[in-house]
Amino acid sequence: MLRVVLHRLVLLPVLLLVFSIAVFALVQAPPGDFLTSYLSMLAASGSSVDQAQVDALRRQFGLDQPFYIQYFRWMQNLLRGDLGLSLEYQLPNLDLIGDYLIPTVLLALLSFVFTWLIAIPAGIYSATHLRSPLDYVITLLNYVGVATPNFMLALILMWVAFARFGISVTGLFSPDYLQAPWSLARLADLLSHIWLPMIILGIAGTARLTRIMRANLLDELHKPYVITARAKGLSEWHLVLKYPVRVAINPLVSTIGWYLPQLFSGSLIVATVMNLPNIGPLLLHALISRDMYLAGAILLIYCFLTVVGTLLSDILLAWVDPRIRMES
Amino acid sequence: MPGSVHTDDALVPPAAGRASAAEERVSLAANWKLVWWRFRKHRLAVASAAVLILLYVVVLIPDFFSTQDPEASAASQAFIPVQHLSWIVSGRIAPSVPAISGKRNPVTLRMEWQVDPSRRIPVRFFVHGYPYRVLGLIPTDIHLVGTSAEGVGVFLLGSDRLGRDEWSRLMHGTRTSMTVGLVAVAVSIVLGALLGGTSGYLGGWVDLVIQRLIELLQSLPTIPIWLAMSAALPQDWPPQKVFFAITVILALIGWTTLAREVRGRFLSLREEEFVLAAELAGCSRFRIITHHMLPAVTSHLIATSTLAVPVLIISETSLSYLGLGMRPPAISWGVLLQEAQNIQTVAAAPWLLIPGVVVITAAVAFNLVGDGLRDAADPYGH
Amino acid sequence: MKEKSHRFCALLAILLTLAVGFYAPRPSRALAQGAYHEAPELADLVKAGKLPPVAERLPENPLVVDTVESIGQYGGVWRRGFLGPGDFNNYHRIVYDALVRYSPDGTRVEPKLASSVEPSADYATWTVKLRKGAKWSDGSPFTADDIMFWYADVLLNKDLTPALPTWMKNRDGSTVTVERVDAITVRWVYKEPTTTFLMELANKDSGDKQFAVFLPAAYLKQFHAKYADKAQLDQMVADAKFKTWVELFISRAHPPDNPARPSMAAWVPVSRVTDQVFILRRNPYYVGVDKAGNQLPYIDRVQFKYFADVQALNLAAIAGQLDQQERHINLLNYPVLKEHEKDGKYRVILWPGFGGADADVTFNQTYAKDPELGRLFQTLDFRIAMSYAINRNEIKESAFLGLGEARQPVAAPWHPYHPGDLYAKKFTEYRPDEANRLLDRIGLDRKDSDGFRLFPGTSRRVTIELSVVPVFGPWPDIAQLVAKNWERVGIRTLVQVRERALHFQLRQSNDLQAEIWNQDTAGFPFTGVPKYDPRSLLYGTITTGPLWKLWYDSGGKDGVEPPAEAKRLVELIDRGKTAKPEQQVRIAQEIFKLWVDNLFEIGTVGLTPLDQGVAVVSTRLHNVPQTLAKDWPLRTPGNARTEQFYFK
Repeated sequence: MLRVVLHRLVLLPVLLLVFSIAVFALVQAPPGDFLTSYLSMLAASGSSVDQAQVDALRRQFGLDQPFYIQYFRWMQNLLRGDLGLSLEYQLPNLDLIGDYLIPTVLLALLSFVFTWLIAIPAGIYSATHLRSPLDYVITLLNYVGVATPNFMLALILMWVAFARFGISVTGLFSPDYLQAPWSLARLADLLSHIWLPMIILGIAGTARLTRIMRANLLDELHKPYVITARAKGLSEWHLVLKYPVRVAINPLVSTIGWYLPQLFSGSLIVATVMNLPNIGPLLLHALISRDMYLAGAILLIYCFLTVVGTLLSDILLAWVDPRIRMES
Repeated sequence: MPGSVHTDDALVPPAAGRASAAEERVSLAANWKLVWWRFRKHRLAVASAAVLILLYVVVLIPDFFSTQDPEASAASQAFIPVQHLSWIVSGRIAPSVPAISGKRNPVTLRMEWQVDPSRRIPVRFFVHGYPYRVLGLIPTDIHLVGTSAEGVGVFLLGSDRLGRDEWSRLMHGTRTSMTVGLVAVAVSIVLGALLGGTSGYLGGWVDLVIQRLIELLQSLPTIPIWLAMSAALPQDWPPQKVFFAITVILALIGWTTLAREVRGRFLSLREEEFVLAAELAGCSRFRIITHHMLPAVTSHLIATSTLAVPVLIISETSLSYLGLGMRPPAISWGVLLQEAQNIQTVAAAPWLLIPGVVVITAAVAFNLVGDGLRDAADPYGH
Repeated sequence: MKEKSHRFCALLAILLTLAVGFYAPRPSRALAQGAYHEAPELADLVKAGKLPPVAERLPENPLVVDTVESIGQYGGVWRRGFLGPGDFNNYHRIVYDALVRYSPDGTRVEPKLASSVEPSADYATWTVKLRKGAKWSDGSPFTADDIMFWYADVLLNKDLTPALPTWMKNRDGSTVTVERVDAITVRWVYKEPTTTFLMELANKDSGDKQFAVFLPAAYLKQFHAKYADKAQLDQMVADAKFKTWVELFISRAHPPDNPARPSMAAWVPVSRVTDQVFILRRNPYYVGVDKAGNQLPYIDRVQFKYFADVQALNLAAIAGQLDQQERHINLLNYPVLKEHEKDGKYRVILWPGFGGADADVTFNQTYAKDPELGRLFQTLDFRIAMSYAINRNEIKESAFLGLGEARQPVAAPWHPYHPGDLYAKKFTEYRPDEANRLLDRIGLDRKDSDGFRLFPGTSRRVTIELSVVPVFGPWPDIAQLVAKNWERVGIRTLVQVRERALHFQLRQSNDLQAEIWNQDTAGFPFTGVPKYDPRSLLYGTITTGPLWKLWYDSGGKDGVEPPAEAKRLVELIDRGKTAKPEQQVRIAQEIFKLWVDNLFEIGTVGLTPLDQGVAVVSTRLHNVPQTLAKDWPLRTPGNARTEQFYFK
């Protein structure tokens, strides 16, 4: 297993290099650049920018260079740890991403906890009480949950929360607490805002996880060792939780690694609709306004985390499931 | 046997030389027949399959199911709510919808619709409506539902902000979205099966290269890359080109999982005796892969693909919602939802969110069918 | 009610001269020293010795601001919404920090930071007098040196200003001279009469991130290569991750990007426009007072909340979380807003557009890719037919909630430049038969089996590509409606929804056939970037004929020579820049008549509150005018004199 891990670690920089080219090409591909986007936005409000000023700005932003030079400059900076300057914010990208990182990670962690807290017990109950009314309800909810586009839910729920209950759930903080230092009151304010996004983001994941848990556990419950344990006289709950559940959970544990990139990007669409200060909307906005250094930086970080996450998943799986180790 | 205890028939060995007709059918049946028989037992899956077939009929001839031209807009018909269809009028079966008149509220400027109790608009089946061509070839003007009355339309699901009939738009949207999912999956299957199969069967450096490629593609974070690729699409491509590009984008990401699975299967199948026999008989490698090994994994492939379709449908919906997939004037579920994802719709015209229900229904149906197929195709299933 | 205020505005305009109207300063004797009052929070600071007393903070002759309803009271936080760092004009509109500013009805320019701006008899020299004793927000004096710094070290600096803006150029291309007369007086010296000076000056406020004509010289010198220590400057540039000192200077000079920069506005930034909440606090040195001697502004702070999604911003407005917001409020949300007025504790006001049209169609008359199509676009009868073919009532009902009126893109009826209803409504009736007749007459009488007209002598369909950018929600819808109208008279039309940047690029490269845009320069045909001028930079204007601009830019070598009517437009505009005010009105009217007669641009519906015209105003907020002229040059809501808004 160590060999596999080393092998992957060696490949990592190569992968990232390939990714960086792909990412840069992708971000540059749309016609126009940041300047055209910026100018057209100004023009929409009757701007009086001169052609010469346009050219000067282009030179200033370094947008007049050919593709490969811009790419090399970008790579040079990246290798020095400089993620570049956001053209729109005129701030260093590292700072920008850093600012948005904590709310993103917090929300992702909370959804993750929410998902697991609900999915595992639901899956266990469903599998052990097969074809009971609650099992049918859970199964139905699972199917619908997986099939629902969550951005649709976001706006509808936001409106219903406002129209029916008078709750306004835009953003993660009330304006008074947005820039305030951390305190118990601020935490309470955060929790009062975060429950709806947490649920919406968690729904699809919960549904999926419950189904998998149920399926895995069902597979296990029919195995001979369970019948043996039952014959031996172990209580039902004890035996279910001690053996089959642990085996059923193994593959799920290995998916934890996949959460790493999720932690970083959050859910783009829901976060945008619900106005959450996450990296997802930041990326979306950067892509649309051709803020290429920002978009490129975020995409590259995401690629990196995905690769690391995959590796983590595989390591976790091998570690947790002794059978796998022997197959590698 | 008289006097014996009830036993499970399967445990009783057949009397030598006298196999019953049923057992013979089972042991001689082709694989797909066995799968079908097992699938049939899952009633929910069968019902879902029926729903899907209905949806695909709509895909073939959406115009037949439409009541009005989905592009016909009329400001005077904006935001009509869902019309209540009543079947029985004074004791007779005469389906009709109430006549309505609209007026703009002078204070809030909202279009408000009142039912005109004096009139009802009769609803008929197989009526003449706007002309269209079946599959682009046969011109006709027969529609499933419509009204025989002149100058009025039936709005089964209400109308949108431009006065377009939502029901008809839904029919056309179904065609686009269901096709995208199917085509993307088909491309994924072809790519995945061929590349995965080749990789698994041939092994060696071919396997190595393809494996690395798969790893590369799988390491890409899907949604951001989709976004970036969609943002890179020229905005002035005609809808058909965009449609094609979106399916390709979706498929390019999806084939890797399939390929890995096929490769895994092939790795184990490679050692089977029937493959050895084919090799000894002189079959070319290509023939072995396509004629002998692939059919063994087909049922599994189909099951997995069916489960992939709803994911692709929802992806297309999400991309279109973001304005990066299909765009108006093309009609897809994503476009319909995108046009409904704003406050004035959610607050005042919620019937325009019904396409979301259809998306969920289709996705659920695909999942149920896929689960059913997977269970039916799995030889170790219980 | 609309009619009344229009007549009132017209009356006002007749009484006051247009571009040259200036506000005679009332003698400051009326407010004796010591008779000023200030906000409690400032009074506390004065008591603590941290701030000089109000009489010393104000200039000797402060700006006296009329209040809409009544004298206000101090306090409150004005909550607004913004969409991120690209939305910096949101800030500029609120503070409207300029030497002079437009009045609420948009018909005249009045002094703000300057106490007077007077022309010489021939309008070639303009004398700007500042207020003695005025101070920047950090307490340093605001003098003529701040304007001279702009002139000598920013405008004339080739790095900061690579090319001179038009308004600072004489007819012969030389630079206009700006000279310092004394500590509070500066003089602009043009070579020719320039009657549009006041209007230009009213827009030199850092809007669009351009340089204002007055900059805090003492503060900004540390970022200027000429004055700063090179090593220090380089270090600052590197720290901020910029590449050149120019970028640093631009960033440090723009108030929303730099809270440390002294400002003359009523509110100064405390945080940045890149933050989640962009906060402005009261400027203790603001030069304005109300009639009772209270130093303005009344409101303590302005709080811009960041919204990633414009829907969320609208939802917040509906929920009553924004105290005064017109920006980014979608017209189509008006019914929902109205229905929640009571719950949200706000009222909704409509501020219609300042003339022009909110959606119009322009044909590219220099389109070259398809010569036959290009010739068609150049045929006036074709354009007239296309205008008659449009059902404007349908557009009004579908896209504008029934608001506004069908009109051509000329000045509004209450504006002095209005050319008369005959012209404003010319060709706007829905007459498809007339359209058909005209199209038949110009040679498009042959149709194919689907009913589409063919080019004469060929079997080629006449097909038009109508390009539209979803800047405003209704535009793509309007494009569809127009396309349908045109197809009904046999002209095949394909709607192409494009993204802004691409659309602008195609404008530049003369590749657009027809486009949908708006006409919002009807109030200002002589200043800024008027869309009536074929020479205007194509990014901001419409596509009447890109190759005409090229002809002008290249001095006749490249491009296509404009037709006589287009040349006359240019002539008129240039004359208007130097004409006396009464003459200016006549010239403007002539421009509009020419514009409509030749249908350079086909208007559909105008005078709607489409662009930032639906204003949500909290019931607690007072002194917000019910009617307000709305346009970018007016910096609406800036021209409502935001410093006199107050909460109760």
